[in-house]
Amino acid sequence: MLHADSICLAQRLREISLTLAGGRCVHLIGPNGAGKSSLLSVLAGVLTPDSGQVSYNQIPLDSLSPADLTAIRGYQAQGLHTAFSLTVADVMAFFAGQQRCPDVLNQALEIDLFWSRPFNQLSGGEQRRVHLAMTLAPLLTQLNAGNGLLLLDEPMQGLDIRHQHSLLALLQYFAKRGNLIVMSCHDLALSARFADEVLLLDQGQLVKQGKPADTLNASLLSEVFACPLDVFQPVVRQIDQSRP
Amino acid sequence: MSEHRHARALLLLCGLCVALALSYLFTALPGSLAPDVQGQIIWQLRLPQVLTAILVGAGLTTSAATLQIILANPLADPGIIGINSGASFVAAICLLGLGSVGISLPVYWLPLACFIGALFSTLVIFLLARRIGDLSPAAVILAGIAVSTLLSAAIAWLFWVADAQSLRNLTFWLMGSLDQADLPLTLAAAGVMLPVLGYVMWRRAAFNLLYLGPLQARIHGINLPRFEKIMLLCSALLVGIAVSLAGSVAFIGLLVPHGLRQLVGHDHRYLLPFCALSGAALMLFVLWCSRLNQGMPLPVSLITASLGAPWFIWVLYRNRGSQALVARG
Repeated sequence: MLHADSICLAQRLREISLTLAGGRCVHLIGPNGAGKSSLLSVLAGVLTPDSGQVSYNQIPLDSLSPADLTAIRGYQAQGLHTAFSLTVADVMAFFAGQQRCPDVLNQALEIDLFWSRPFNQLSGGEQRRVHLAMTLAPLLTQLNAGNGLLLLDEPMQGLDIRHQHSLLALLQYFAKRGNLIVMSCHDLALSARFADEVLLLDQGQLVKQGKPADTLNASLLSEVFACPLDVFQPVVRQIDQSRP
Repeated sequence: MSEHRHARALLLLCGLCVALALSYLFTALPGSLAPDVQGQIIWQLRLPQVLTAILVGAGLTTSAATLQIILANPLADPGIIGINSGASFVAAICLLGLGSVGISLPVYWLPLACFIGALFSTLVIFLLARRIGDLSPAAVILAGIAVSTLLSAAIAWLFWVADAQSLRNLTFWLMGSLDQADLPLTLAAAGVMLPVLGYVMWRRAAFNLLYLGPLQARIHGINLPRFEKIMLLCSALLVGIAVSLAGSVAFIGLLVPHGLRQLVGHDHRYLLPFCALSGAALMLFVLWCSRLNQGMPLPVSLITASLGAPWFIWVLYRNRGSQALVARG
């Protein structure tokens, strides 16, 4: 259970309170600059809010050391850059403590294909796949036990359609085991299809929280994104009906 | 597998250091010298030189390797954070400024003054970097360049006013020299450098988490910026003392870690011990070379830069087209 209590962050987040239960894949949507990345980084305990508190399973994040936090949550922030010519194997060894990619991750992310190539020479999508593997791998024990927390900032950026779907399926699998996954996403159709819960953010405020069918509402989205949108109802309804 | 190979290579390097040190210590002396004079030359003259070479080599390369990772710049070296220039400036003042007004300092004062100069310039750079950019790598590098340039200009002014003999002394100092070595001073330096080196080595695995920048290091459990500050301080101490002992030694700080990354890989658990031992071996080799010229010993930088620069060009050439070198966009 992840709980945030009136989080404020100068000019980025305003009075955000939310409670997210485990076992769900929560999508964070909103226009550019809405505060999605800031919120994720506060929820990850990396950025300290100006006021308000975040707690995970009743433990306030600010009472945990960086090392303690690493043991309970995985956080994929946006870009990865290095000035050194590290290989993917180096990245996985240093940041995930793995000599090879765990099978369950490799099935979805397929990073074995460029295991010994320099990270800098990979394409943006390939780098993103490595970044995801490196975020998930050290947390695998918790994820398998179903008590992990994953915070992913635009994990699908740069991924081709095959890997978008395999990633979302993997996240769905982990969510079903009881883990809490919070990810930002710009593809509303994918959110409609894969999210258990959607958080709609605008100008640093939480506008709406709820099931995809309630939050992905044409008039609300058109207003928040300042762009006339039409929701292709059958998709949302169909998906929603298939859910318990 | 590779762990065993690395361990063997490290042992080999240790052996090389010992062999170089012993062969330098016990190179035959003219038989005409009385045995007690010979003993004095070996223990009072050569032993401090050997110890200085080991300390300076290990200190400069280790601090360069840590600076490269902390400043996220594979081509950083201790000069870049202005430590050399602070020490050089104070050396210039002592050797030129005071000399010209007829004050000559006792022998211990020069290294001590240089050390204070090194720490002072580092402090100025840190304060400046904190003001302009919260101690970010770019801010540290920019502040370092600014302060070094200013101090170099000051040294150039001193050059301009100096007389011929003090100029020669300073030039010698600026090119690095292992001849000022003195046993009590070297032992005192070792008393500080060895614990600092030990601490850096103890934390060496943590450096691996800095490869992808400070945010990733934080996410993966490093207590930044505390870690960065401590390691910057350690580097400043190592370089400050090394420069005080042997003047400014060109290039080995930049070259050794950079070259070793190609040879032993990026893992700091091996890279840092390799750096320290290779640096020590290299400086012992330089010491050994500088004796080949029988009369006057050669300045250290003359050898390190002459050997280092061609090798560096070769490394750059070998990695041509690598992502780090090609402009993006």
